Amino acid sequence: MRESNDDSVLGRCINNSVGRIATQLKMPFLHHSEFQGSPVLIGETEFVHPKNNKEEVVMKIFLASPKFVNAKMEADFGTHGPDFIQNVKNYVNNFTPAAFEEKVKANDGLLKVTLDKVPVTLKHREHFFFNARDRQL
Amino acid sequence: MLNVEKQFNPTYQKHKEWACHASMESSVMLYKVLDDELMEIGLAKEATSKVQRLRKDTGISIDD
Repeated sequence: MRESNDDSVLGRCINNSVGRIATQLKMPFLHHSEFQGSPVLIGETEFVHPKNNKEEVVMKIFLASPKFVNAKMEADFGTHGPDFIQNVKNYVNNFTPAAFEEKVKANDGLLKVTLDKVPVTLKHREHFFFNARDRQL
Repeated sequence: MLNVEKQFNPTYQKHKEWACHASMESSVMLYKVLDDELMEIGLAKEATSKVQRLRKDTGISIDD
């Protein structure tokens, strides 16, 4: 994930080169606006423009984690109160990424759970993706 | 004994926008001026290598 001033020369340059950078890194290179939840931070580094030290971009590596389709989550579960969707997300995030993927794949792409007496069925690629790379496929 | 050497014309050797070198086997001439696109490619490469270095330092692999 990257954080920068999008109006700066460096920020624009990095935003224009996202595809190239992600290809070279072989991992998603997301803008901070796409950040979701509280995944485990692995580390971070800063890149300062070599000709203008007032411009910098901060890049962070997180462990892969599920990414939700917020519009679909809101459409399907938004009527159950303000905290309900967050509770669903918290439930999903309690799994390790590998365990979550295994559980969903074993259930034909579905995750079924009852939270606050409300039955919830989440569908892979409709309500969530396993991680950012999965979303880009 | 006769030594034969191949050289670029001094106009090009001293040119600010070109770098050149010649040997008997080959000759290379490189345009050195950075335009916006080259700057962008260069900055993207620098950013990429920063992340690669971080990945190496933290010991994570692409599959993690």
